[in-house]
Amino acid sequence: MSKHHSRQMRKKALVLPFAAVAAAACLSPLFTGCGDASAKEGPPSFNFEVQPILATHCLGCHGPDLKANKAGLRLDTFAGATAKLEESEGHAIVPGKPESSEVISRIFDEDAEDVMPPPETGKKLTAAEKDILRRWIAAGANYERHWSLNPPKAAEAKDTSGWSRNGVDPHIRQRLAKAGLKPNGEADKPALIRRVSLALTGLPPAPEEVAAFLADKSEQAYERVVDRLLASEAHAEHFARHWLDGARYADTHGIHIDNYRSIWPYRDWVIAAFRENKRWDAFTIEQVAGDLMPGAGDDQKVATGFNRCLATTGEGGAIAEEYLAIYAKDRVDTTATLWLGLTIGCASCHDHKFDPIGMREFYQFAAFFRNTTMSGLDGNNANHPPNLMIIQPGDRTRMAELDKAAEGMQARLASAAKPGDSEAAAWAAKLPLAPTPEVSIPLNTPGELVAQAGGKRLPLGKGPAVGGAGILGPSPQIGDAQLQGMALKGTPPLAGKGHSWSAWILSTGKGDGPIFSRLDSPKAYRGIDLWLEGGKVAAHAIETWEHKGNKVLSNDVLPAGWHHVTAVWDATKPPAQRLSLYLNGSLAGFTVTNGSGADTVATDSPYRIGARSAGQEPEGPVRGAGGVRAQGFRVHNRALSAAEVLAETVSDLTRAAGPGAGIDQAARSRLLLEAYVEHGNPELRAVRAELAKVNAEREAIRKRGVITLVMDERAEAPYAHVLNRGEYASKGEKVGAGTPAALHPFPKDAPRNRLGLAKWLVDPANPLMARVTMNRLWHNLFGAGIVETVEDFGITGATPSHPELLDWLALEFQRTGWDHRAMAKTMVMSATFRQSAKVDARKLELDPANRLLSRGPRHRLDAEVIRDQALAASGLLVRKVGGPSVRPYQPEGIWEAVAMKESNTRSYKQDAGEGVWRRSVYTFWKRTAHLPSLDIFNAPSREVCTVRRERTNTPLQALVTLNDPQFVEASRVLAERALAEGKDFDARLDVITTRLLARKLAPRERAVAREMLDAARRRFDADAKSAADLVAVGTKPAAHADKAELAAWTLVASQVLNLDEALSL
Amino acid sequence: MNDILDFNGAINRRQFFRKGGFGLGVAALGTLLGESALAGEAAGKVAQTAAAKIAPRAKRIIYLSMIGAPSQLDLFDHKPELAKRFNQDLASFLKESGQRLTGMTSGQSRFPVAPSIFKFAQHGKGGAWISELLPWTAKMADDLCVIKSMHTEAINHEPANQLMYTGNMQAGKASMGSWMSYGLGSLNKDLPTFAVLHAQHSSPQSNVQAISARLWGAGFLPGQHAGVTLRTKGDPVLYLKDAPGIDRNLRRQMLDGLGKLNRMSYEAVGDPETQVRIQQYEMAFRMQASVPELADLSGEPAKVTEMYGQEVNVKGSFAHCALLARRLAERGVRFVQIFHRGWDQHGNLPKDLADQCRDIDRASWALVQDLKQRGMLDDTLVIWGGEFGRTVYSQGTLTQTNYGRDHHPRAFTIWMAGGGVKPGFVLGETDEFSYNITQDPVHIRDLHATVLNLVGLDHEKLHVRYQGLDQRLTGVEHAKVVKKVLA
Repeated sequence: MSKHHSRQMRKKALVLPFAAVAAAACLSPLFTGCGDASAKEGPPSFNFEVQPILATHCLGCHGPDLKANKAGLRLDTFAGATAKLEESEGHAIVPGKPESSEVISRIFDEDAEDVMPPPETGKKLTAAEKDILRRWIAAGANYERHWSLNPPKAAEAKDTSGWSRNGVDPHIRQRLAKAGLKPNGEADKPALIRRVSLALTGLPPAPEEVAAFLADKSEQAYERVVDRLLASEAHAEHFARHWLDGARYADTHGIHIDNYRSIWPYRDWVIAAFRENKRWDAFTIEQVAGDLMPGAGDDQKVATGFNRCLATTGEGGAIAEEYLAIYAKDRVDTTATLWLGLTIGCASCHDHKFDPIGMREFYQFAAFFRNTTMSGLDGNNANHPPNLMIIQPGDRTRMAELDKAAEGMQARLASAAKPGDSEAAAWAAKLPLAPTPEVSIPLNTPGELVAQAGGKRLPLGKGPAVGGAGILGPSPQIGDAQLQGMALKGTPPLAGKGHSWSAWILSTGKGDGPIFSRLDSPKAYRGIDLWLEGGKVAAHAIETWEHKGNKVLSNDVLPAGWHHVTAVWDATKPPAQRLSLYLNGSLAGFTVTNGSGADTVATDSPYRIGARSAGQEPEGPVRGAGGVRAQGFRVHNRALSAAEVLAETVSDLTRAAGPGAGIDQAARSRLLLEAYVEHGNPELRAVRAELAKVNAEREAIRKRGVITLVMDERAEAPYAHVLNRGEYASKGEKVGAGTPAALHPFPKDAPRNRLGLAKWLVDPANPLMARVTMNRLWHNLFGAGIVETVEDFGITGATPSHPELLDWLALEFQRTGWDHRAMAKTMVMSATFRQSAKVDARKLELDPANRLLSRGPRHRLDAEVIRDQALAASGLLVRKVGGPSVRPYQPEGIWEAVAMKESNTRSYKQDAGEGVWRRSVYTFWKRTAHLPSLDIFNAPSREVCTVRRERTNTPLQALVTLNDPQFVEASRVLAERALAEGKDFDARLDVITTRLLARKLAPRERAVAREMLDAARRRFDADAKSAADLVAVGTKPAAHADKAELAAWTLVASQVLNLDEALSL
Repeated sequence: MNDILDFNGAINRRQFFRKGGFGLGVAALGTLLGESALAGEAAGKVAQTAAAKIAPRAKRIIYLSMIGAPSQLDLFDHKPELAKRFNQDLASFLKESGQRLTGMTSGQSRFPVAPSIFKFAQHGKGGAWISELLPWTAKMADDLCVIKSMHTEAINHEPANQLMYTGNMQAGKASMGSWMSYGLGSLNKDLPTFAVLHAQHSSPQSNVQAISARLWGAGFLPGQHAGVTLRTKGDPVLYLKDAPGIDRNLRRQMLDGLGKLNRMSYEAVGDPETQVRIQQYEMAFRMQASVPELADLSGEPAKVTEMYGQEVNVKGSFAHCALLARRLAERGVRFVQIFHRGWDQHGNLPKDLADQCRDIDRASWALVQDLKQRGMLDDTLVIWGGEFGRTVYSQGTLTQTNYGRDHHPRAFTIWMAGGGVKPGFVLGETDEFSYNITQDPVHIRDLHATVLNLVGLDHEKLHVRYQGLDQRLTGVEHAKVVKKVLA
């Protein structure tokens, strides 16, 4: 007989001890808590009372994960729970009849064999929990959709006491009333301005700001402060820092070698987004899919760095496919955490155990992120593609000016050479006629090639069938097999004291080898040529190489494009000056590399194309030059004048093109303009010179630009394979991109890619995004979310302390057009936020963790705020926004202890100067060893998305604020300020406490500070060296002459800086 | 307070606070001080927690972590028959085995068998085979429980180390030491519960693997359970030393004033966190004395330091760290972990492995003997080992005297000593290539379950809820306590 049948037989005898639990003990102060009289009446709330019990105790085995399911029973749905049980006649739940419900009998069963949950799970229901389940079933066992998946709905909340200031407060007040508590009154002004300044900007108020607030007796005084803070750069930096935890932004790859990664422009983008209060939907879409937005600019692309912030590896031996699966999961986790508050990643190996997300749906979601061109292994490369070169923020204004100036100048120049009737054409028409050459090899028609020599037509043979567009018509490639070494026979020998030879060359910017030549290689290369050398152009005029000859080489590489090159040899000149080089009709910058001087270049060897001799020559076969095109080779048997050279060039550029004929008109216009500007119009010449300067500056700016990592999409439609058990090597079904069915539908008109995903996230039908965002904002301002598990709004997440308030905030957020800043303002303007933090025994008992907001927020400040506060209060803080990350003080050996020797972030080099005093948001974040002073205060390593930091209090933290040079230096500089600004003890102490606490100390507190000062003074007066040592800490030199006095005041400042009050909001 | 109660107390305090008690700060204080300020409230809940009915055999653990994966084939897993197969190609054998290879050797055309060139002998009553590279370790064979049948799934260091030290290949989980700290609480209110030491290593030729705080992080556990790195250069604990010019008296005076001011603030506002802060500063002050005392080896008798060898005087050496580990254990630190890097011998193995062994061999022996002499070995568990094994085939060129070995997840060797494990015992066997385990496989999860069991914790019951899951060191897959190694 099965165990189950034996149970059935005993069941009738079971007496359910309902009465024993009727007066159940307080379960949770939030929903069934003491003082909440209403909670035990009527049916319990499924979402807030029943569901948490099911999730904690039952759904692990009786939930949506069918593989883990026990006894075929599902308790997550009404249908499942009320179905006939597989193994017995009964039903787990019979609505309205707890006494017939197997669930009830099993949870009350005293037999260890039968009781649920089974003892080996380590789970046990309390009497109160059992009672909730019983009452719920008695009332009909109503299942509700999980609260966070229902659209937010407006609910009435009223406070007639006059305490409430805005829509936040009645909800708080109402809940407090239920618990039998009253809210606190408003905090005093110093406490209030300090709190709101730290909460909105992460910096303490300046003394002037405190003074102004104290002096402002108007009703709007506080609002004015809030508006000022929200408009500040510091606010943008502070809120960006919160976001960067979620985006897991860091300056290194994170895994293994942990090299530098170039992505700080993304960090600056986030700061800019908060500065301009970007609408939250745009903030979302740009980060998730900026690259896919129509007309995406650099800013939108930089924003996609969001999906490039994840930890990646370049470990030798790592398998790319495995990491691509890991990266996709990380992106799913991060996106789901930040916009949905769901742990979708849990479904990577199995169906989600609690939330309605199947394993297949996880892979559909992951597909959105698997379509990137990013490789699985990052090569330990800072620029791991895809990436984008962007201009440094500091250069952007100047660059815009330069772009504008360049545009004007380019337009002016272009107008001079517009095709047809232009200034340049008119000028060209007036130039003298081009001289007639003795020899001409036009190479401007494909097929049969013909040259002219001394007025005779000389057939050259068969040329290539196809040519590219040239200046004179289609142009063949010099390296073409049919042209290579082609010789022109029957031309008269070279003779005389002067020759000029020219050709059109389409440069590729590189290459070596002959283009045209007439050289007699057996006779010491007597003759002439045009030649490419490392992309520069050269010409030879040789009598006997290398003792009697001329060689010139252009100073610059010929930029890619067409150029007219002319060499002029004149034997009547001094030897070194006999050969000159012209480019595009103007004398070129060139170097005489052989000036021994040819007296004659007379030879009867043939002209050759792309070669210097009939056979292969060891020193100069066509190599790189073979890649160039050339045409229009001409030889004159005299030295042309500069005007004739120009005329030849320009006449080619203006000569009418043949019918339909492969002319590169753009090149012609460009070159004609160049010649015109150079020779025909001094005004334009000045414009061109100016443009060159502007372009040089633009180039310099581009060169100091930075690379930032971005997203890029492959052309095909996104897909993913379901990975069995989440293992990359075990591919299952192929699925397209999609979103979980339990959530709102994918927008009909949206593409199935990241852009569609982004639109889906910000779709007003999404019940989660607004709630999750508002909850995170609340968490950041109040220290704890309305849903405490900021990262998890699923069934196993915490239940909201004020669900109606959360809905109200979500609706407001939507109503304001996703105005994040307006919502921050609403929160800090509330009476709730403005309450005094004072707590008494009753509040401590009934609202121990301040979840009901029976008082104002008070909690230990975040790591960065503690550091920034010290820097700001002392005046050390350098208020520079953005730029590369900085390296402040760090003890030696932190990086070295963990890094591989190959890592380029193995040795820490502290910044000199301002880098040590920048805001912490700019601190270089090495994932495997981030700044220890921040780490100790729970700053996350940023390896994964973090939206809720730990907030521990440990002795190691005390050591940081007591002894870290950053804090010692800040204390000393603050002390110096006190000594400089205050005349006596009280005034000096006021300087310190106003800057750190925004208040002056009470007399009995002053007495303690006085004791400190006196004790320290005695000690340092007696020990000058100690005083000198203390004030020498840091890199800013001590200014105050009396070192003992300064050292003593340093201790006073340090004491204030270490107060619980100073370290808390 | 006995350990189980302490554990239960810790769990219950935590549960209590999660339901809305006095906030994390107070809980943190309780754990930090190793005493429950709220024992009264917690006590009522003790009975209903599924108590771990496991008698603790060890109170503390010293884990000697050989980062990079020492070669089992050259140290413990003796395969004399391989000599005959020198340079035979294992390609077809590997194909049959289906094991994925790392990107470093998957492109090799041949997989030549590389027999160890080192001499092996059997030692102790358990007959453990130990190579000539570890003469001191061999001497204490009767103290050791050698497991030759460890296995893992990870084939690269990063995920493998994470699996070994946090129970999961992916980042973000709580480390072994932090679980101990969380589960057992502290025995010394002046020192951290989980201490980490980084020892220098001798093998600069090889790949030296990176490690990071994720191996000793607290993951989803409260941050105070994270390992605290005790440095051997500079301040042993970061920022421990008072700023220059401030002596103990002055610091005391400053903290007295600070305490007075904080108490005034507490009177005015009433925030219990303020009291936590006061305690926090007081403990910091005590640590400033206790940690340097700990790090000061001058009081150690010569006969003790001699055991560890000359190197013990070199700050940061493994020997120095080993002696520090004993001192930490002696003072009640629950979990001490020494990381020694440089065991990744892809090439040039004979020389580099010998150097690495010299770093750790004598001091490991000395540590065990030192503990034994003090009567501490019985309740101190010492663990030695890496994150996976190495291949029988050579990576790169094989010669009679030189070879390298790639990563191998399917079999590797660790040893344990003291703390309730069977001394002079060898568990597990592998096939002729030290490739597959033929007897008594022990997954890393099983090792975790066993280690937890040895300190009196039930790996299934030691869990916290995070991201909707009951998170355990042993994860969600099956893990078993290896009963055969329990004394």
